[in-house]
Amino acid sequence: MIGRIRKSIAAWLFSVPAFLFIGLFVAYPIVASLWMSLTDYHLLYSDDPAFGGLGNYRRVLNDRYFWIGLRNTLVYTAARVPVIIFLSMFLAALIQACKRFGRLCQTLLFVPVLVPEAMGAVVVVWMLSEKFGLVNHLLGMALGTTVTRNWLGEPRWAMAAIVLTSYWGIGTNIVLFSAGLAGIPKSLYEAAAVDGAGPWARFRAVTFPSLRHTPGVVSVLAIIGSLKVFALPYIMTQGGPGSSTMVLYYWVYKNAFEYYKLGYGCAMAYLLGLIVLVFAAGQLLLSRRESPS
Amino acid sequence: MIRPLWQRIGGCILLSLFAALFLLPLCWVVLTSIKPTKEIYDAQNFRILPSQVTLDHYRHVVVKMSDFPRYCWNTARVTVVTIAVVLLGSSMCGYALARLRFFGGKSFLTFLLIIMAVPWVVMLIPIYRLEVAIGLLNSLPGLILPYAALFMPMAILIMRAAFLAVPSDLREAAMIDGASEWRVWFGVMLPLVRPSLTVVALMTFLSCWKEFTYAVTLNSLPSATTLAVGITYLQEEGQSWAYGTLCAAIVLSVLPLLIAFVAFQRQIVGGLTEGALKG
Repeated sequence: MIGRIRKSIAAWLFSVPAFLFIGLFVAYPIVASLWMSLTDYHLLYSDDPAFGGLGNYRRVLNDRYFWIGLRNTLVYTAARVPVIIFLSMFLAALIQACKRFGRLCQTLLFVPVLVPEAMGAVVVVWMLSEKFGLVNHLLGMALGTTVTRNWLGEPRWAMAAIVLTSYWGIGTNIVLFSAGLAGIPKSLYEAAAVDGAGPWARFRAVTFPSLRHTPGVVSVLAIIGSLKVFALPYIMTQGGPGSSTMVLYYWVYKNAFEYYKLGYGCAMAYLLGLIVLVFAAGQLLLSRRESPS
Repeated sequence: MIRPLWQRIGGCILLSLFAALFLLPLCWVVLTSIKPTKEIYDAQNFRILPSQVTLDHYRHVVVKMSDFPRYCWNTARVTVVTIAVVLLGSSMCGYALARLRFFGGKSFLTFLLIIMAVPWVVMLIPIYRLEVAIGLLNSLPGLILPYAALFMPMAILIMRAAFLAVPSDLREAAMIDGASEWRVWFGVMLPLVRPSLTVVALMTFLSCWKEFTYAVTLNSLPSATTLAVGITYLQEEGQSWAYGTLCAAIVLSVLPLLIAFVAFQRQIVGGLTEGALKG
């Protein structure tokens, strides 16, 4: 008994540093954020914020830019997720088919994952530069004219550029699919080949069903990642032109750190967090089924 | 299974095209960084390859720009201290969770899994307010403390799994020899989980180097910010956007990440993929 108590005390002592950090900078902020979202907290005006109940949340739902931000976030997600899934699945299949050369390519495709998103964004801004950018020049060479399109200055192209930039970090998804593909027994393919199945038939009848939950897991991860998009539009377009690339996260940032409406920002952050949590819960269920440990 | 040769060759060619496309932006950055300024801004005679290689931009970034070395120094300090704190906190707590069944341990584990699902945007505003209140805004500790806390849950899970894999007889044998709980942890267990400590250190290193949102919010002043944010400030320096120096700065700041990748490829790929699944 005494041994158990001593063990328990030792365990708590071992956990003290982690408890302190997580308590102060994760647990407390999660609770404080909920509390602040119920007040009219403003960094400059209110030392003594008044409790406003659900007022902030009601205001959020009447905020035109909240809906624009949500729509842009959803457009970004919808444009990004299917391509991420199919492209990474396709590339993983190619990598598997190419054996050792494929492994080299997988390494190369992984390199962009290491590059900070912010720097990737800056690089794309440079490549899309109106007069001196690589993209306009290559297009000009291909079309035989001079192209001086300001891609990031046009609403539709700006969003497209941001989505395209985000494909750069596809490497983790490729690795996930590669792991899934490696688990498929070769005998299944041999059986399919005996039946005379072509590449597409093999994919439909063998590969896709055998991947089981991998596509599901990857899509949930991609959805969660997409909903949290911030750095790319922040650096590439500052939400513009107009509000065409202003995503939800950006609107939270603006309200909290440019207008200093902290309470209002917290309410919106909580709504964004809830949307993400719904998908995270889905992911947890999926991965539970994947590994019943 | 044997596929027709043309199919296999075609597949490999397609794959290398994709790999080239993904590396194109990086190559373009390197090319821009060694190009003379007048060739960078010459739309009439657009050159993809520089006519002559120059290291002026690198010299400029390292010698003349006082901001860039400062961002590097800030990033290095934030990274090193955060890694130390995360390693210590996670290896201690992970050990307790794995080997010392204690009151509240199970619920703490569940709690960790729940908070890991909460997106960081939820915590950002209260942390900002807290740092305004205690004067930590735009200071390195102001970035290190939240980083250490945010990266810790994932690290604890990794370390817990590592300690679980160590046979428990070892601990008991050491205890019978009269070693204290601390000695067992430090002298017996820690050396055995070195591979996982490496993974945690690498993940924390990459996260510190890459993190943008917290850095731009909490440490927006050039004196206290990290490379990921600082790079975007270099963009607007001077009247025209100096892409030559900017590209040189990007090459220099991505270099440590690439070196780490070459040295620890297996751990990094494994760690990031695992991290994506759990986080």
